[in-house]
Amino acid sequence: MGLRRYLARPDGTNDFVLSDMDHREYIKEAIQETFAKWGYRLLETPLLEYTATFTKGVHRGEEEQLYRMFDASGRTLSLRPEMTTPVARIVASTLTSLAFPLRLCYVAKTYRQQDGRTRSSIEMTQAGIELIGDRTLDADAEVIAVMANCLQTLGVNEFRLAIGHMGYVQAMLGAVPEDDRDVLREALIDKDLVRFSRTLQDIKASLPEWVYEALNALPHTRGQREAIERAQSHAVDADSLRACEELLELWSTLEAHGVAEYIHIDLGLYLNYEYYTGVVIEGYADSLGQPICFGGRYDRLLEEFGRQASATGCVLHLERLMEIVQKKPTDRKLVTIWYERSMRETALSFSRFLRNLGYNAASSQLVVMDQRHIEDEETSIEETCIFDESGEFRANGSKLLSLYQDFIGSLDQF
Amino acid sequence: MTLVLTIALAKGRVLSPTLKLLSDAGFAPSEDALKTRRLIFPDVKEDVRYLLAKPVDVPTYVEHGAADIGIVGKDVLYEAQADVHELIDLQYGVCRLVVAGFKGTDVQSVRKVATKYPHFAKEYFGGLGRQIEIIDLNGSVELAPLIGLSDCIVDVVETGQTLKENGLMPLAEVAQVSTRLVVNRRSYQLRAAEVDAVVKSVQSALTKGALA
Repeated sequence: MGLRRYLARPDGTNDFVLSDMDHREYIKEAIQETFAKWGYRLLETPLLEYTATFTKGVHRGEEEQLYRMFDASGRTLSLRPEMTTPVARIVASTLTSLAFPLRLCYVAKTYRQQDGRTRSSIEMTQAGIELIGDRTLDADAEVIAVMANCLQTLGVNEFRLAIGHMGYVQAMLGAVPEDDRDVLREALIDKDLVRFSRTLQDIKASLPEWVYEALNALPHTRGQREAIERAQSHAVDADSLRACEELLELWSTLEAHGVAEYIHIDLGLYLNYEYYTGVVIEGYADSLGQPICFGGRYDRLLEEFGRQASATGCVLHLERLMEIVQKKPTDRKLVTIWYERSMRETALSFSRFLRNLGYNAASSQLVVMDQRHIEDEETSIEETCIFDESGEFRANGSKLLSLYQDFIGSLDQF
Repeated sequence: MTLVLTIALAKGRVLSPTLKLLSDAGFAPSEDALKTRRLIFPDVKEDVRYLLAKPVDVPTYVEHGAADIGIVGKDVLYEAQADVHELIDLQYGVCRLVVAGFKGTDVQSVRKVATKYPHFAKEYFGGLGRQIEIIDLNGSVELAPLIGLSDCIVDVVETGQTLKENGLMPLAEVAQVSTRLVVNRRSYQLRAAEVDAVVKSVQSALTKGALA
């Protein structure tokens, strides 16, 4: 017999309570504040959307990943698997009168079926930004800088943002026949470099020597600015050259933002979404094995919804951040006030007095006090006080006693 | 800052060639990994420490980043479906994964397959256009066709002796597997210089070994 069904959570979901929740709120607020500082406006969308919205958007042909259900008239709805699509829907429908560039942000729970491959959770809170209607490299650089700024603000010291360029990889892979291209692409997505070089070896004879060399070097072209120059020397066509120029411009813009030290160029980075069209981002912190942030440019998504606009965005994975951000001690202490029924009026008035001073005050009748509170009294870090039946006031700290004196003083004034 | 990289080594069959390769690549584990009972031990020359694990656990350690690098067989790696980066084919510990059964069994028409390797089996028969029923077993897989539990098996063969003694024979090859060097996703980006250095020395030891 396992845990009774009605007491269990669905696998892959999580509860957040007490200090965990404080930690979560602290991270969320710090991120939202950073987004706001960069001029991003917060939005909220329904947890449910028509499935058609998602299949038009990011989840073309990936319906199995969605949690689907029917409404009363038989239309298919889905829990949102990500936020970029709902944002695109809004920008193309309700925000059409607003001028570009638009800076939008969100903190939202998203749901995705386990694909059987990664045993990760089905629930992910994405704290993200979307910068819409800006086709310049400055937009890409800004999104990266905002991500770096969030991680700095949260005190994550050791982190790195891996930067790739879908235009570059796709142009390079364009040099091989289509069937092989698919195999190479999948090998890059899986970062299976054994399969990548083996496939390349198999088709070596059909490729010009220099194309073979260039493709062979592709997954190993990583590092700082010099990696972009190496990529440039391997470029096979005008598109891949243009991508390198873009990366060089991106690099100098990131230097201007003061975040270049966090960047690791990786030309072999291939994010598993076909809607990315340009610069892509994947972020890691030293203390966690999995990515904490991902995103990139998607210039063709908006036109699917009928409004042509280039766009770029990136999200932070809130649950993973909770694992790596150091807990911050709460600054607002809780005062617990216990009172005999006869002292109710004074006790509640004292509680109000404390709240007005900015304290958190919880008050309950003494009869409901659990034995555990008494046992804990010695070690309790909470401030506790009691109004007993004789009208006496007792407190576990001198701070609270002096607040009580102030309270009595304030009563005397009337 | 000196960073200590953690390398997870799979115990068992491939451990001894792995140690040979590491020593060729200039590493010097402080313990004799084949004899020690310690699970973690340092290198005496490089900023590296080793972790000894059951082969099936190596992909897990690397996926979660408990180890930066892992050295493990492709058979285990593929079955684990772990989200790790696969960087080098180390070319040793080669063995064959085959479909085996009674003589005359038609591979095209089997329905039930007993195996420790469900992913390989599904992939192989899927490629033949067959949807099969997997019977998940953990050892002595040869038993299944003998008692009529399955039509055939998918398993690793080295000499084929066990098959022969049980009246079975290889019917088709599913895959050739060898040992791989895998890397955690975070380590690949954040510890790129350190990881690349290890990859480079292992690769040049491999090349030298191949030439010798």
